[in-house]
Amino acid sequence: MTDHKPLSTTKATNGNDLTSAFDALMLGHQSGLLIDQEPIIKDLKQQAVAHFVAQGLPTIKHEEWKYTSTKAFTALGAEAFVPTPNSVVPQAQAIADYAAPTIVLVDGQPILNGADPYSKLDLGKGIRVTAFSQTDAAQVELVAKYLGTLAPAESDPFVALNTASFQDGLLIEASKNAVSDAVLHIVHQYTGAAKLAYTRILLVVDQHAELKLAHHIVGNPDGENAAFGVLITEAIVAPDAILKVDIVEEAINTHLVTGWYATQGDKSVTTHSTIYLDGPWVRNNLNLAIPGQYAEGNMYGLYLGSDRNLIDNHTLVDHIAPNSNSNELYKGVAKDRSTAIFNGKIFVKQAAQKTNAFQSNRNLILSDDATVNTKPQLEIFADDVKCSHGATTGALDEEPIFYLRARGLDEDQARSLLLQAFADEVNDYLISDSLRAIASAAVERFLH
Amino acid sequence: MGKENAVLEELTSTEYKYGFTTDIEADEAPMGLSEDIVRFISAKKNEPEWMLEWRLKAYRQWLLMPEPKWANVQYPKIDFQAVKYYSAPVQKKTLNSLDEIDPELRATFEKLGISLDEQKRLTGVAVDAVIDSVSIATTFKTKLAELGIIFCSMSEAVKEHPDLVRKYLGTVVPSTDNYFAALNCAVFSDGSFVYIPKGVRCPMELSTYFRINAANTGQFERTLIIAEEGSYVSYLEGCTAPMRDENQLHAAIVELIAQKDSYIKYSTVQNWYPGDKNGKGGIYNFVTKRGICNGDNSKISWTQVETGSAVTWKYPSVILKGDNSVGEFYSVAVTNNMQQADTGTKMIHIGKNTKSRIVSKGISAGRSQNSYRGLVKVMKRAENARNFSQCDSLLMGDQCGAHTFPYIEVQNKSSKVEHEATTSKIGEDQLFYCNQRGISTEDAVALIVNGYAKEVLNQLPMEFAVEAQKLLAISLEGSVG
Repeated sequence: MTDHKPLSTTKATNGNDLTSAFDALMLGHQSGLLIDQEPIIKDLKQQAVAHFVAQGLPTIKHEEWKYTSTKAFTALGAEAFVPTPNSVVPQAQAIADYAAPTIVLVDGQPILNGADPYSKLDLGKGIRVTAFSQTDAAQVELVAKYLGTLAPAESDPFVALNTASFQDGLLIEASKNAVSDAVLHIVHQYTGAAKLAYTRILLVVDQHAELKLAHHIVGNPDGENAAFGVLITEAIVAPDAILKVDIVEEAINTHLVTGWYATQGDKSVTTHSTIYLDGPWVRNNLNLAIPGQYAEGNMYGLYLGSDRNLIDNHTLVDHIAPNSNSNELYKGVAKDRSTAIFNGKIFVKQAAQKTNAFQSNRNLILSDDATVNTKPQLEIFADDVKCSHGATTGALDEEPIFYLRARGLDEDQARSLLLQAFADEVNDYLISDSLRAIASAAVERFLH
Repeated sequence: MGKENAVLEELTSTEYKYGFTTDIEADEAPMGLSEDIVRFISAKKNEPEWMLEWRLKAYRQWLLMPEPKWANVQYPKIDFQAVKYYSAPVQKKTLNSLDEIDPELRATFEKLGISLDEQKRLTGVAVDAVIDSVSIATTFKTKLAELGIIFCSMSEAVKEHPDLVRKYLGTVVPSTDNYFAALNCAVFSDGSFVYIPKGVRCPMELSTYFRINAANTGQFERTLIIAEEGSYVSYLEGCTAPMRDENQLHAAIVELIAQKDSYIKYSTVQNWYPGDKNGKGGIYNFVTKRGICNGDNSKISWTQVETGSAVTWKYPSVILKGDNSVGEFYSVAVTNNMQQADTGTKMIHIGKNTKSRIVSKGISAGRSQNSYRGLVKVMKRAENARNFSQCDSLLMGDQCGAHTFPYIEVQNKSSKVEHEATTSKIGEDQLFYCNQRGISTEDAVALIVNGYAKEVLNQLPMEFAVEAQKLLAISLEGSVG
């Protein structure tokens, strides 16, 4: 960072002066975590503070935030942006039985009882989960090498905020040729106690390895305070590796920003499914860079907007090298006064000849008070490619409803069945059986 | 591949056919922009006081506005003080007949293939010819006047029909609309004015031919078309400019007003000088075009063939206010060499049962960048609104880019909105199929490009379709085939 502005003179562009908060943060940034003792990480965090202060929170004048206001974050005030080092060990609420190895994060923090508590999880040979604060020397090196290399603090204020402020996080490794036996489930709970909670995850999937991961964001169902969460994940997928990730969002009482930043090596495959079921305000940023050849990236999404909720999905696929494929299918339903937003970017760089990139976004709008905004976007610089996108917005088709009613179903049953069919096209891609059941149940309930 | 390269090589070497200049004595404003220049233009045109006030208001607004940066185009910052805002061929006196037109001028238009001669009714098109800043001649005026149709230059309309101009000017594109619109409002020098009275079907195509001739000038014209209840008009617009090394600015406004049951069809063949193959020179084409379907059952249809200009920034739009109104946008945008185009449309659905259709075909070659940017907005009360959009891009060569930025905003549950886009190059299987049947690669490419653009070209009136096809041939096909 060459133009490192002094913090005391830089103000956030949104007019909300967060500088003093960050000055305080930098002076008192002594969390005592191993990760913070690493000079590289310390530098990273310091730069991130500068990046955040320089950018401020985005407003709706920002093209990427055209339809999504961050006012709720601004309203928190400067002191909410000062992370409090976790002096108390967070307590987890009871969780559902996922019939699979499960980790609980409370306000983004791993619950650490003793050294290396995750070694007992039955994940399969070569799959290892470690809290940043418990990493050994080799792992510290790994974290220092990759952390912050994919998620851009300089251009995304929420990444900057997370990078500057995360206290602890998870490093998940799949070593060479390791294959997940089971789907690792991570449950994200928010208490609202910390106001702004930061979750940071780093995935390193080595050659020929296969890793399966399922996030369940349950939000803050019992808490009194509204919670705010920023979850940033970086994933390095080596050549020939496979990574499958589910994320099911029931962000009750929680404002949530998620950022997924992955890079794929030659012949690797990633599948990422995002299911939004609940939450007052959720923004998902999915970023996939494909510098490898013959790689495949799959992105699936389903979002069910209800009440006054806002769900915003931004996806970006960057084809950098030749011969890779990407598929994207996002489906949305908006009822009540909800707002559903989809923005899908496909970039094909000049070198990325023979790219096939497909994107489809289908929306059902079920109320005149609901809003569906979509912006599929192709930017193509290579000529020998096949790229397409399609976007539709409309109501449930009357013809199949008539067909079903002619066969004895009542109107509600017919609509419900069609909606399930609409949603299952995405739900079927979920790798976690228990999360798929949760999503299906939510779809069934949706019209009642 | 070698063959294709040869084809592209040829393509890039095709010259701009309309690049000649005409040596006409011109009456020019001094270079630069200030309130005095705005007053100068207004005085030159013998405008009434209200018009001058309107211009000055727009100028003051323009001073406060920032230059837009959002378009996907790059160009050096425009020095608005290095432009002459008014240039007119010297006219000694008011013309009584077309015979009195400067023979040089007449020759210019003959060269462009436009007949200013009313006696030669072969083409059957009424033409308003605009050179640099002023309208030179309008043909078939008397015949149109018999039907109550007003077709004249904007400056004439300001004088002859001030009530109509005052009532409608700036109602669709207000002077605060955008940076270039505000600039145009301040300094516009001429343009065409069309008024079709109630129940009249305009018997011939109306056409304006724009030509930039003088160096260092900008062209800022304004077109206003009003179609009263139950009327119909088909309007054509064509443009060319000489080859010059420096960039020239063209910032126009077109406003269409369609009342109940009326239909306005607006076709453009834009062939401003695109600059040479290294991107030197060429026109900056920053145009605001918008129509309003004011009454029920009205229809506005935009068709554009964009082949020229160094930088194009243009979004012909329709506000579908009346119930059952229809908006259409058909576009072929060809960019070659260093050209950049950021073009598309906006369809704003306000009334019930409104329909819109968007067909956009982009062709990029050379090192050009071609973007489609469109907005489909369905407001809350627009019951049963329907939109279909298709935007396809064809890439020729690996140095060019094709981009799509469609915005779709829906707030009504009974509406149906569909959008699809594809990007690809000409399929090797398609070429192979043609080759197999004895069609050479060059002819096959020409055939495929023509077929690709056909859906849009078919929408053009006959006279224009021929010209557009020729143009495509000059811009791409001729060089390819």
